[in-house]
Amino acid sequence: MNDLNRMELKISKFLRLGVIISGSIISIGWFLSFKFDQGTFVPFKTYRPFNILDSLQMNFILQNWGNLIIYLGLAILISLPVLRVFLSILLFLKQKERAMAIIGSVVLLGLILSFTLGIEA
Amino acid sequence: MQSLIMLPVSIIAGFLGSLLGLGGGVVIVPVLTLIFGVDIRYAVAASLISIIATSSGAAASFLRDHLTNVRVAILLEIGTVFGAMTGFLLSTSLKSSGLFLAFGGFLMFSAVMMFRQKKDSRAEINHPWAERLGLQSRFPDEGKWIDYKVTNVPFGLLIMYLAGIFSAILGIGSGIFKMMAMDGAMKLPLKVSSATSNFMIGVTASASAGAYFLRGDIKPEIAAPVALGIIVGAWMGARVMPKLNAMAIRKVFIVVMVVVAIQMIMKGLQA
Repeated sequence: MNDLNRMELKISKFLRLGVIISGSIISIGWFLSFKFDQGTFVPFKTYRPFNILDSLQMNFILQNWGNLIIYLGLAILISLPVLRVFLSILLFLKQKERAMAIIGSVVLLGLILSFTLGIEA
Repeated sequence: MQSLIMLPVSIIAGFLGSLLGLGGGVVIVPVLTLIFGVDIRYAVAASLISIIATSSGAAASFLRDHLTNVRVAILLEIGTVFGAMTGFLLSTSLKSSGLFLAFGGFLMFSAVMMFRQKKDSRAEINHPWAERLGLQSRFPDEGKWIDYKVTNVPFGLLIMYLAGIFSAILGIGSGIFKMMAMDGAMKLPLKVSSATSNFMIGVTASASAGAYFLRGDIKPEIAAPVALGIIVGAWMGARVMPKLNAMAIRKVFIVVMVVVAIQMIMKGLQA
């Protein structure tokens, strides 16, 4: 196994740990949110735009800490691939592979740009 | 209660997805929409979350088997990430009937592709980009190391862009398109293509999942049981995979996919 793959393996093990951590956080949140469970998915039958800040605020007012914890777990989960790309760029830079580092940076930039599309889209 | 039922359903989806190499999205989106009546946009967003979890969780084991081509993955992620951005923007202007039709069409296409026998073909020479970036590599097959080259890189990138669009619109990993790009166009070995596809899927899904998350489309009540169930199911699937006759399961599942595809298309036509 070459150096690149060895380092990527380390990153991937770290990511797996991230999945376990975010999964645990989501489980705790889900358990705590049971008392707010309406018992049905009927509220989700029709699509209503309601952005993340409003959702967080509403759960805060209702004191639905469970949902807020789930949001935290989801945010960690979504950030894991971003972190992986970032760490890969550092790895390429360390190995003086400029072209690959630039390609990685384009991917990272794309990810960040893509996230911003969700704000007031 | 429905939120609780989603947990075992998602475990089964993750289990089947990992056995068939399809990812859980192909199962989860139809279940949420057709059985539970959830709006397809919420279903797609919840499904993307589970894709990130399975891809990030499995990456280490594929890397350890020396199958993932990290350089190819990162290069092609340019295509999928910008495709995902396009897909997210398109999804805002698509009606849910359009989404049902697209999903049904995709399922039909997947069923046809699963029926086809895959053949391993090799590239004789590297594409200039592959040469410049050192994309060629080697992988272990039946105890021997086999060298391979990488061709048709720009065309592969283009297919990846389309894969990214479908992933964001339909909440799927679009592994089938990724395989078309890598094993079909770029002539990477099958095992390498499938490991590299799995490695990339998390980044692709994250691009649109992040946007859906900030727009508030990822509902904790749906996403929590789906993500947890798929993580557990995929883990179980990976454990039993070597002991099962995957070919027989594939054949049964192809029939199920066609039936579900018809239902999704009917739902799209009704709306």
